[in-house]
Amino acid sequence: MTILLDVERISKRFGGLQAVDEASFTVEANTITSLIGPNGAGKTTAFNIVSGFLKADSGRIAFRGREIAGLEPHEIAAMGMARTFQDPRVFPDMTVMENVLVGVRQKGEHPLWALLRGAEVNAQEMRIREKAQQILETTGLIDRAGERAASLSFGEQRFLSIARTLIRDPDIILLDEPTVGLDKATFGSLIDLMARLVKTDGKTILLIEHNMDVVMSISAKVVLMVQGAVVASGSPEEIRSHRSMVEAYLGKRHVA
Amino acid sequence: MDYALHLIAMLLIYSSLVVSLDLMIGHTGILSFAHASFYGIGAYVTAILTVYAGVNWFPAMILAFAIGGIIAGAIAVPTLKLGGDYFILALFGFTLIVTSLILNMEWLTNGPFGIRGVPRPSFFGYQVQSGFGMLSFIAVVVGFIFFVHWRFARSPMKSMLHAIRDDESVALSLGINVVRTRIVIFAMSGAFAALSGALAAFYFRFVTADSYGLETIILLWAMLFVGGNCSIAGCIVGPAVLVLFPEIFRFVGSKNLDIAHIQTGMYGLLLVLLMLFRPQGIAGGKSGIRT
Repeated sequence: MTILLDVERISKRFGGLQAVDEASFTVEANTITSLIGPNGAGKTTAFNIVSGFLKADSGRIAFRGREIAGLEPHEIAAMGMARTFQDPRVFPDMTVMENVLVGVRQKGEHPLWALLRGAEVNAQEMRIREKAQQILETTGLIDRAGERAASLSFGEQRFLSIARTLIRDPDIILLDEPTVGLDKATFGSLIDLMARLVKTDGKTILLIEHNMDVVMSISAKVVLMVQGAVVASGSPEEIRSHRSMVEAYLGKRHVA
Repeated sequence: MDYALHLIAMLLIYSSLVVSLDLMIGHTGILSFAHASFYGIGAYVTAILTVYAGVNWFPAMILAFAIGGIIAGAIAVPTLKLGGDYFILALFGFTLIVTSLILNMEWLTNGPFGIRGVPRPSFFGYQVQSGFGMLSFIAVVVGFIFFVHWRFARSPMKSMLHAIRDDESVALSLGINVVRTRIVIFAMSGAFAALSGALAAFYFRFVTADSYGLETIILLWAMLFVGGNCSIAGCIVGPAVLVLFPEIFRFVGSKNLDIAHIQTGMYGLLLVLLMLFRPQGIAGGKSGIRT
């Protein structure tokens, strides 16, 4: 198994709070790795550091074998990393289609190309549009393609926020609590989508998730963070054997 | 008739300024208070080159465009790092500096007296003389400026700019180089404002510092938001309303009621009513920023 993402002893301090404390974990290619832990454990901070939105005080992050600590978020994104935020944060005034199209960088965005519009630029735009069509189909949004994103339900907006990252064909997708606030049916189709992305499309997913049933059923690996530190990591079975620890940190109801 | 031509010329020049301001404010969300300065820089570069250096009108116009863009880019690099309110203040400061430099660098700008006698453009030895000829010349250049912005608004560039405007973090997560794009847009917008400035220099044949200060910025902002941002039509409607509005007062009124005196107040009333009842402007785009 190849290690796609290697996070080594990263730390981040906000004033008096040690948000992330020498946390290390790895994500293997073509699997789902879940980051779990109580609120305030530093999961989202770790996400923000890995995706370049925050600079770590110390530590190293290797993505596809290249050091990415210190790079800007857009540079990391261009290397093949995608992320979502806790809220869907779709562009409300753009259509569903436009939201997906804006997810990938293209020639026609440069002023000179936008002005001159060569055949090459148009061809690229057509290819991207076709691909966006496919992605809207796989995410179940194709019937809403022409509507304003603001008119979508919360669950649909969540799917759109993921669709928007897929158009770029990222190697790894960081999903920050994607199942929060979804009804049962939508919840199920999101789990299916994640499984399909890994199995069929060869993607890798790093997931922050509170629902232990989800975590235990779809993850190849689980990383437990508490107060900024990684206190346990391993397969769902191994994490289950740490039952007392999981119970202590997450509460009894979380233990399946 | 001449007067009507004059109004149309003014309308065209202002429209071209508003359309480049819209690229920055409406589409990219950069609240620029420096646009009038780039307009002024374009006008002064054109006047200095043609009057003092004897440069032909066309290279002078190209140089005005380039210098406007370079100065705008140089201003954008340090100021765009500032947060919203500080950025606005910094550009306000920039405007004051430009006005003060124009007034004090007498060896270059002739100080408060301005520069007179900017030559009219000539084609194949024939100088444009008539009002109609000048209007045609302006229409062609303004048409070009509009064409460029119309293409931008119909390219993938538009969505990218709106993404930056509406959610910077999401834009970054999608791989958009937000900082570089903002700098490029600022520089381009400055270059096009300078091109409008070159037109103004050729049209009025006279440049003076008071035409490019804070009053002009306020007028341009008012034009943009009256017409409506993110809309080519809005960039024409806004200037039309604000250029033609004062003309009403020229003809209406009587000995007993000198309505011209309350013109400024009427502007204010117009703005207040618009913001209350049609905040997106008369012809504002669906994707425009909300005021």
